[in-house]
Amino acid sequence: MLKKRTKYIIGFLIIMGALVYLISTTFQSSLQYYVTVAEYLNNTSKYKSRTLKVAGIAADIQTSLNADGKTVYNFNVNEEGKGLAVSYLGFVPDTFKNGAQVVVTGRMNEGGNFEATEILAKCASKYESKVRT
Amino acid sequence: MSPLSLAGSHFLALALPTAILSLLFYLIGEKREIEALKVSAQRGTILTFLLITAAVVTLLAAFFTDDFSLAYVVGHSSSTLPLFYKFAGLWAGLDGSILFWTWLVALYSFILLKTQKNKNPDWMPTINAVMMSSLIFFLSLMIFANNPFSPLLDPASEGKGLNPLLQNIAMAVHPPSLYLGFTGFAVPFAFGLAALRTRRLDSGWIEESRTWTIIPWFFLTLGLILGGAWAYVELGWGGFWAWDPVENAAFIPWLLATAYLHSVMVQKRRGMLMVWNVVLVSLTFLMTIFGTYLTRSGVVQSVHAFSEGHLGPFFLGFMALIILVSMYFIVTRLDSLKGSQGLESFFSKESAFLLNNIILLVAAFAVCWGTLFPTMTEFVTGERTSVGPPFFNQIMGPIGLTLLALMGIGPMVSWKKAQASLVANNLFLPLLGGLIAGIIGWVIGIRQWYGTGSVILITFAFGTVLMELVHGIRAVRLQKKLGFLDSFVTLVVTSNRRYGGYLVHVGVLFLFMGIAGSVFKQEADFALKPGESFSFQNYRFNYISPEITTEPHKTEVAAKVDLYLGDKKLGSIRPSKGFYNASEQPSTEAAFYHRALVDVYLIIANLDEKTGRADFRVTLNPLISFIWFGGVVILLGVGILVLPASVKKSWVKGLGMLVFLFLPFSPMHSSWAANSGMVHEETGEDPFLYMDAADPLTIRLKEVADKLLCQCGGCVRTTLKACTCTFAHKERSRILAMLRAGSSDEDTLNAFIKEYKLTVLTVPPSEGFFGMGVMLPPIALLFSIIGGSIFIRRAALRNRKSAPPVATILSEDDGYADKLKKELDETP
Repeated sequence: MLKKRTKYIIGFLIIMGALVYLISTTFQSSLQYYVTVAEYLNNTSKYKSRTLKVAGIAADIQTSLNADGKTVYNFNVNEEGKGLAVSYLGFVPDTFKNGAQVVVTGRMNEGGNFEATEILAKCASKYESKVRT
Repeated sequence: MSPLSLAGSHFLALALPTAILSLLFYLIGEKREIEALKVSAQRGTILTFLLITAAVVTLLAAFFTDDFSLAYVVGHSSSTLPLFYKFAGLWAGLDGSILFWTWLVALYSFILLKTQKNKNPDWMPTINAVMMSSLIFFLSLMIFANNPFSPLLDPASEGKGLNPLLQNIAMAVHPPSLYLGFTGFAVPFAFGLAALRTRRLDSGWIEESRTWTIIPWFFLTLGLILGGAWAYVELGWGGFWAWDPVENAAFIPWLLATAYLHSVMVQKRRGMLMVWNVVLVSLTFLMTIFGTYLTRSGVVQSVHAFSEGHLGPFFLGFMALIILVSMYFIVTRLDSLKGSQGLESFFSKESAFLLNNIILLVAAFAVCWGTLFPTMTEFVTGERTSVGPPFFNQIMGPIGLTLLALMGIGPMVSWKKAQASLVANNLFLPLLGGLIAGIIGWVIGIRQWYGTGSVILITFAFGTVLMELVHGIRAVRLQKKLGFLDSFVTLVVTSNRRYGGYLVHVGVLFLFMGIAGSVFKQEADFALKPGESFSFQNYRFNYISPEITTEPHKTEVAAKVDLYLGDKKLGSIRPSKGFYNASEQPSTEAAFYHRALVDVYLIIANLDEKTGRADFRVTLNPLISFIWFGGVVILLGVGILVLPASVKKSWVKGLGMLVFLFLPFSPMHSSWAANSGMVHEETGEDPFLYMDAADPLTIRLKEVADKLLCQCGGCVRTTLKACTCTFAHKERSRILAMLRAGSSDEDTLNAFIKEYKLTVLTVPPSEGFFGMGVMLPPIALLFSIIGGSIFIRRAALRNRKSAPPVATILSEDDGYADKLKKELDETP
């Protein structure tokens, strides 16, 4: 029969192994790149067809209605003179406006347009908190 | 320079040397055995507390007197801000929150001094040293980096106001609660170091550090739940937890403290795990400082991190100091920490607790890892990444389920070595219940592994708590020949820690249910024109009309939506968006319709003023109210848990019975809030400020409004004429619109009665069936209070008769019930 201590160590290792496996497998799938607009545009081939987060300043916000009558937001995310055209269907946070720091999550579609699925916005000038949709 | 700014800065500048002197004098006084030096150190601690209190009062005074020569006041207040939120301005920003934080540490130091000076004089120098070091650290932060009293060279004439998002009751209560939790973990750490330094690692240490961990644990739990409630009500995204770094920073110490509260029982009972416990206490404290560092230094990308970034080195230095000091004492005291006993069997309560600890620690590690990973990769590779909520959800799913299973098994397994047959016997019924619940869940459509697992394990864990209660009651009944209810009260009173702990478990189970429910959250976006409708699940949303109200300080855009379940109209809800003139950003007000098991949550955007077209997002949040309810149950459980022996009898009985009797009325809250839009939000503004008092329409409005009660659910029977909440504001606009359109007073009232039922009337018609309906709840309440107090008196009298044996036999909490149960289980 195994020594008690050895049994504990084996048990402990099994538990830890299971947990490490769990963490590492889920981790891979939920990791996203977080880049600035300039980084993104300098390396579009690398990030192509990947879902990622892009940070910059929102500008030229325009809205239009799609076929279902829902509001679509078209705007630019700018950084250092470079701009990324983004379209977004959904709800924007209260802090979303021209000049706000934003982080958009999404991916480039076939037409070369960046489609966002989530927008985080931070009002740079006045408040210390950001709001999410 | 304003006198308040000058005074405040000086209070802080004086508190720093008094804290340093107090720390040194106490340690020197101890070493040289000079009593007078110790006494002056104690006075130094009190003086430090008073000085920091004075600083807090000064900042509050600056808020209340609208002293806009202080940068902090300008940034977080304005002359029109309601008084209540001026108070909250104290912790609304970085500098003020550090001051408030420091004050809480000082408060804890003061309480510790008062309670421990005579009780544990040998520990006091170390405890004082730890607390004073914390204070010195935070005071230095303020004096050298973030002075909340820094003056503006050019005083402003008006403040910028408080972020409208922060103007919410939960947001006003949530930070203090969270901070009380965070700062409080310094106390068990202080006890730990004191015990190590003096090598007096006896049960006294366990008792103190246990009590002083439960208190901050409780506040932290409350703070986390309130934070979730705030996000849910105010942020308009239909969720309550987003795995944001700031949230994680508070969650990590919570996990560690929870682990400690369990493993400390092993030490108490079996004298094991001493090193482990000291490490846990130190780690918890370290993680609170680390969490503060994350939120205050801008290290991590966060939704609500404070933006300034130059505090880093201060924090890193302080954390290094904590690690070094605690490591030094643990390593040098290893010989005293070695327990004499080892695990006797795999199959024992000790193992269950150990497993629980490992899992909680892994959870803390996983959360920490996910939070820090982006920062680490950026540091190493220069590439930034982001770890999203899916990671945390997927990790916490299995971890949560494992904890649930342990929560169910743990209470049934005995210390040292459990008998397999006995445990199997005890677990049979709960397990059966769990499986049946799982099958029922499967039939009604909960078929995802996480959902089914939750249903089975939650029922199972509930079952074991119930079994414990039943066993305990049976044991007391047989032993003392008491009635059922008397036995119940006696049991809870005499084993308050055990059953308080179980009640906390029940609260956590409710929390789990709410969280598990959120997995089944459903969301849909749709756009409608007035008159159109949208169906989602069994609900139908009929968009009746847009309502645009313009007031001097804001424009409010709302939509009146009738909500149907099948063909039955549930009510009208009114999501809105406010555009404040003074503020740069609009404010989304979600509309809720609370049902017992699900919240219907509706927000609106982009309402076109010409056509009335608007975008809507509906979120169905199943079981979300269980989270808030779980919080209340945890609160009660902790209340029972920490009761000192002297007051506990009458307290538990009174409190417990009242709660018990009130529980049936809790569904009433859903009817209170049934007709929504309804978050009570105080504006503190005179309702008729902008109206012409002589206008006959205004006079009629006042008359009608006086006959109606505000239905926002937050104010207690205030008339629409008097209530100053935003909801009342909207209602008055509606009345005015109706009157203006030619509706008579009578018709207007009837329209409201039709919508809200008769309870909307200030003076309901007393005759007939309606009168009964209105009067029934208060009458029932009265009866239950009378009945409850009679019962409590009776129980108290009977207990007094049998007092002596109770006091002697039942005084040892865990042991008694255990022993009795064992006896009972072993006799066929």
